[in-house]
Amino acid sequence: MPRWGMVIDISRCVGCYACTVACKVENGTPPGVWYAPVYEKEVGSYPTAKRLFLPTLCYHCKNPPCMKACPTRAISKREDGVVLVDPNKCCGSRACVAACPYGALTFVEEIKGEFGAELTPWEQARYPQNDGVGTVQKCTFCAHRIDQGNLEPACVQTCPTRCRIFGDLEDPGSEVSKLIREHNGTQARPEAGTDPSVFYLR
Amino acid sequence: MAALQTREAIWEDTWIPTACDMCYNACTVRVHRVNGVAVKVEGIPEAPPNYGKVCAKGNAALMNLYNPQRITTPLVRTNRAKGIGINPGWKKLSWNDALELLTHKLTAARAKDPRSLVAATFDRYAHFALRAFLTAFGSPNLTTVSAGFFCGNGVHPVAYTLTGSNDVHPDLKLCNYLLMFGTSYGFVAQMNAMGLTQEMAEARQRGMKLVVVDPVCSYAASQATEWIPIRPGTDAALALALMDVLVNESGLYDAAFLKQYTNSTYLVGPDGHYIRDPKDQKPLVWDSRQSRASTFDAIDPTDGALEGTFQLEGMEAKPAFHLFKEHLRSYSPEKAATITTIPPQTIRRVAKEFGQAASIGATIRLEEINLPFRPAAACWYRGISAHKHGMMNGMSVGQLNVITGNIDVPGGMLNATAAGPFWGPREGADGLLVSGNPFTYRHMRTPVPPRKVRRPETLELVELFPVSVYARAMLPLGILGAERFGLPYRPEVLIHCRTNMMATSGNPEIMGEALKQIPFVASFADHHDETTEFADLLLPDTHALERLMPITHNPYYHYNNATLPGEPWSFNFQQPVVKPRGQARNWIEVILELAERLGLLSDLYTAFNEIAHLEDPYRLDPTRKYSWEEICDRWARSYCGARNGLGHFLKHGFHTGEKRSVEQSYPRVFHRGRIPLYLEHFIGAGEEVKKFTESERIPWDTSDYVPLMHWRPCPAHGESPPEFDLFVVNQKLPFLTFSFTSENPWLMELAEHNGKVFSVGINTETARRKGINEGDLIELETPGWRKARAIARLTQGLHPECLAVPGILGRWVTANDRMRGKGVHFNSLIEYTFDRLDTLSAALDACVKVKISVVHRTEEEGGSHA
Repeated sequence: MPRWGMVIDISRCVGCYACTVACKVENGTPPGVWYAPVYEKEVGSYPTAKRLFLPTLCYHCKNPPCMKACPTRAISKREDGVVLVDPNKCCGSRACVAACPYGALTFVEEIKGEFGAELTPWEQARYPQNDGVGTVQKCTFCAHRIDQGNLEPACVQTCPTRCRIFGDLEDPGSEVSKLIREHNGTQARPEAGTDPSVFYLR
Repeated sequence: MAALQTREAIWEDTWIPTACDMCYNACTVRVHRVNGVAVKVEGIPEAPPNYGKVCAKGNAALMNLYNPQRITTPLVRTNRAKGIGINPGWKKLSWNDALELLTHKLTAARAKDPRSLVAATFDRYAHFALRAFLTAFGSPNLTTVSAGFFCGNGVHPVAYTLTGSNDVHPDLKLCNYLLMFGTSYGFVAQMNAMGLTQEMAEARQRGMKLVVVDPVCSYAASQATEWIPIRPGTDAALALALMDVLVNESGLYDAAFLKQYTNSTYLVGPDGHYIRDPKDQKPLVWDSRQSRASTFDAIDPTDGALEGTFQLEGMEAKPAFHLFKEHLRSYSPEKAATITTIPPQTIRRVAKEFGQAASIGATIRLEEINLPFRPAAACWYRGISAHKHGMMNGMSVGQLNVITGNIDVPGGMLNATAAGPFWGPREGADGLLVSGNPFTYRHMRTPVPPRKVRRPETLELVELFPVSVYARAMLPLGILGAERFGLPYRPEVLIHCRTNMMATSGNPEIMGEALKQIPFVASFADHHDETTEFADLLLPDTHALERLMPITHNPYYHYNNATLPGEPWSFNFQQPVVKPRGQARNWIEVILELAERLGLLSDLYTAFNEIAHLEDPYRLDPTRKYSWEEICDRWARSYCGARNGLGHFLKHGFHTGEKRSVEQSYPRVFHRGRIPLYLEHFIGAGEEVKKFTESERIPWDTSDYVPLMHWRPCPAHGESPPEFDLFVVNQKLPFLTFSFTSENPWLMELAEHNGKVFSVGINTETARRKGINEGDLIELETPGWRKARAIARLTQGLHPECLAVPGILGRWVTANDRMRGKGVHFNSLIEYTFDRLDTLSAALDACVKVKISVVHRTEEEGGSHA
């Protein structure tokens, strides 16, 4: 049984937002909902300043605080490590949103059109009517893609610098495992005790 | 909400291969169509040039496709008044009525003077068909307008001079040290954006040092080994100083390369011209072995002298390199430091790093052939071009590659299209390198040898720019000044598609005045923008995802589709993924119908055969009539073989041919055409321009037609009262390019998330000095009273003398109501006057200086965020 994880190489990210948009289009998220934002931080001072780009997503933690916090047990973790929110069980308490140290969950208040009241054909196809509103959403590691057997998450597939690598953390020979070992992959906010399945390389 | 959820049953679930059109690189993509709706765009892993990768813009294309304010019917203007913000009063009409009207206007224009038709587009895939139409019509006026003001002006002529190709790019697979000036090359920008972003990431991982020279800590600078901030418009001084160190302090230059592949040994007399053999007029060199002069081609190149003073029939003669070397002494690092603000020790260090990385004398074996190996390159683009002396800027940077011998050899700066399956660079007059690419003149003119100066016939007055490749920035000034330039006709009809001239050229007021001079403007467009506001007739164009367009990725012709060393020559197609919205039609199919209505179809076919370089049996028979599909099929087969016609492309979307051979990738040692390091031909060209313009009493500055490059200041460097103390620099964004991307709500939401897009960047220390806090609303004002307002965003990643304004924003006509007016419209700050144009490259100087004042303090303590 694989345990899915991801490696993100900060030294390769160029802040282009390809992953962010690919995720939105793949998952049909409404305005304001982005599962995979990239953050930017300026470091250093002139003339040796630079910008660092930080791609983010849900880290599918081994100890997901969102799952613990959910009062209706709407959040579950699969055997392969993927953490999912069941919108049918979600009551919109947003306890998970508060519990997540990474801001990975978004509460959907309403679903409007990108251009106003009228939905475009894409939106009509992709926003399930009456689904999603009043619930919480997040990155799913594109479970619907990986369950097909041979597809990577959309963000991984589209990244032009290959800064996102996806694979099996249980397999010591997988690319993700090797990269974490050889380049000292670190997790975000390890003091939070969440044990994320996403590792960053510098 | 991950998987596709629909209420209805899925009756269609298919993927259609096509080419993206969100920039100009024609990446191969496939689009997922479910129940007739396009739902996702992805790459195709095995398909060049992007090998499965799609940028933010390409991923977002569907929100442009499904823009609810698409133009869906032909529209005719009812309000005679034209201007910025003036409602055209659109009225619907049928396609038949629209085409009758346009045909009537074209017929009348042609009767007056066929040259009175001008067509402007940046739909480059449409170029061949459009040029065939214009050829049949009898007009030379095909232009792209916006692209060609600030961008390739200082690149294309230099690339032709160095390689015989319209562009150059570094050999990222082998380069060890890349010095970039004014470009975001390899960071989702520019040529082959996706392919090269992958290559750049691999190169950096491999250990290639990347040094980025830029006033802004750009995306490229952020990942660079070193960012070198520079005062805008001074890069030529840096390049010349680097060469001074290489040549005069360190001896790091490739003497053998200079002797064999450049005009460095050509003897120059006191008048600056070559000294020629009296019998055959060939340039002379000094044969060191025999101690006498000889024609350049009669000696072993290694025997040519690079330095020395020789007496030839009472005349003092020096090899060109001798003059070049001495000239460089006036650009010491200390001198360059005062011009650029870069410390002299940095200049010396970078020069030595570059020179040492070049590994002069090294060789490499590729496919059984020994080639010179020079793994250091200097590349440049828009940031260098957009200046009064854009040609000199580009040539100076380009010469860093010439003196280290890296041109068209492994590791160095490589031609984009100079050497292909059935062509290569040639040796022209005086032994100089000339282009052999048969498609070369289709949208650019070659600058070597300089073209004859003659009375202007084109609206762009390109006849007055003998060493440029185009003069697009002159179009509005040519229209407004037609009398003064002695143009024998006036424009009557403009056909325009996919180029937002009002927003992306020089100052909009000037462009608007020029457009108002044209009696009839027919725009093909899928959405309203600042330029369609000036149209008389507006025809609904298909979106790229709704049309059939052949040979979109074209490495024979489009320099940005250059096939990298060892990669296959490849082509792709656009095909309809969804039905056209409303009554939209592919504008090129409409152009063909217009040709038929005008009785020009036969001539169009004849022209098309030549322009597209079609081979038998696929050439179009002028006595027949073909459907668009038939034309696409023939074109595809002519390039890709009998089995790879329309059917192949509809199924697969792309075709890969032979790999780019070693000779095609690295042609330098396989041909003898020499690079003019000393631009002797500039002198004669300048004299011709001077003679003509003086005789016509046209004031025209020819002082840049000199054989040795200089740094010369932009008007902004010295003109202003001292309170105008900050340069405004336009910076690139990888997720917004071309104005139509700022119609896209996904991309604009990202812009809001980014926080830097709608504000203006100011150096933190500069802000402190001026008492400006993060979040303050400030006003920028130019000496010409042009103004803009924006929230100040403090940053360490910016030269202290600069303000940074990103992208093409501050739009005033956009479907996206929320976005109207957001951000600063950089181009509105530019002075679009004749004295701001480079008379060599027709670049428009984008150097703007402003004074700033606080309009409104941020209310929150500690500053707020935009």
